[in-house]
Amino acid sequence: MNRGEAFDEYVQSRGRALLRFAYVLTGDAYLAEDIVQEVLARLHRRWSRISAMQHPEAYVRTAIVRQFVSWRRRRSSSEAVLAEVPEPAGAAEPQQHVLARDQMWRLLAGLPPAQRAVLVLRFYCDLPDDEIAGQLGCGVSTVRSQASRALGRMRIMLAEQGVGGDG
Amino acid sequence: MDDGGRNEWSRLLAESLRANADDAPSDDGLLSSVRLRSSRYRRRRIATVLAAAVVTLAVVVPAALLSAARTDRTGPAPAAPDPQRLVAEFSAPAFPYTLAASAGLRPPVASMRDGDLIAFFEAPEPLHHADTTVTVSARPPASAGDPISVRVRGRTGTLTTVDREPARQLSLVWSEAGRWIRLATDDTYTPQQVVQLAEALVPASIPVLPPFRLDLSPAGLEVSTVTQSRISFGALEVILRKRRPLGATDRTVGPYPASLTRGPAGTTLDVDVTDWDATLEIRAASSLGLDDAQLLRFAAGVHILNRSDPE
Repeated sequence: MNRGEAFDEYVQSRGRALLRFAYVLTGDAYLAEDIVQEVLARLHRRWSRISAMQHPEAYVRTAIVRQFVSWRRRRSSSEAVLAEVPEPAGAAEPQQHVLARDQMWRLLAGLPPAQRAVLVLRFYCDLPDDEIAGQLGCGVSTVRSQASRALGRMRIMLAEQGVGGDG
Repeated sequence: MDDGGRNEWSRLLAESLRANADDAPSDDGLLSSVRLRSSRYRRRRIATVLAAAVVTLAVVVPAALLSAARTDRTGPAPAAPDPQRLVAEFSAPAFPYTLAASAGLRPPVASMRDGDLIAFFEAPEPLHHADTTVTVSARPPASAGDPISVRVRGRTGTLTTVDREPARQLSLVWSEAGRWIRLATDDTYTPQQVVQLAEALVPASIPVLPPFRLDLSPAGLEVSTVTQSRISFGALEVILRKRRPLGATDRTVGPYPASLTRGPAGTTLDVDVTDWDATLEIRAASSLGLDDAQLLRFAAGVHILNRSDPE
């Protein structure tokens, strides 16, 4: 299989998964599409080397994360202070459960990009902190502090909005 | 929050991400979009050396406007030279080296950024060759990593390797003929091969292909940047951008509406070049001393070439 065929096969087999990943990362369908296209187009020419790596998919995802963080860097977000907050109540009821899930999604949208990336890598990709650190190019302690701040910020937003609010 | 609460949060978060991932855009057409974009980037790199048959779009100031602005009314040219600020000449710079064909790379594409001349040599295949960029600069280039000393072209140079994925970057820097030369590529080549590439550089004159033909240029200013979307003389800059709404327009340049904006730093003329789906932006610093008529006259002499690529 030549380089072009290998690349085509990768995009056809993994494209949907990359788009799903980019979408949960960005929360925006158009931006997700744009980032995935951008990253794949830039990697296309070097595909023979990337596909020879031990984990090419991890490399592609890292590129997507960095593209996202870089894109969002221009849009600064202030960070909230961690505080005691209420639990996501009512999740035991099916309807409340769906509401709480939707609310999580909306809360994610309010996070700075690096914090959102940490949560997506941890809770969507199920990556351990050391791998997340590798993908983001930072230390494990930074990953933990970012995750802690992100969850803290979400709890604060939740407290301000109330469970099941309009967001 | 206790452990149970944390677990509930984690579970809800994971569920939310997975459930919402189903709303991700479809991958229909992804491959063709990626290939299209990849081709566009390749075209940008290669910059159409073969674009000899240049289709031009003349951004021409209407005759009536020219008559009002021009001091010499006898000349038929749409953009006559201004003896004070503008001269009727523009010569594109040239890159002073090329690589012998035996190096296995394509002929170079030259550009210029901030006074540095840059030649990009594309590798025809990526297994045995790598894209290589040679930069000629009046000042020593910045370098990262730990340099090692090597002999290159009879001089002492420094070779630096920087770890990057998917390939380590090799950079060889030396000085000759009063200028600094940097050859950058990746670890497809061994350090010895990088030195051999440098040894294979031979004198040449590779024209930097500008994105516009200019009838006029600012007197006494040297061009500092020439890319596929811009020519800069420092105090006077011409940029082709992707089209953006101009808001209120108060001028016309040829058939195109234009907007003139003055600020403390200088004047900007934006031309809505509709049939190129682009905006031509011309920025003149106050220090240049161009008045509005001169700026419009300069704009009249900007001809967008089809090798241009809006940024």
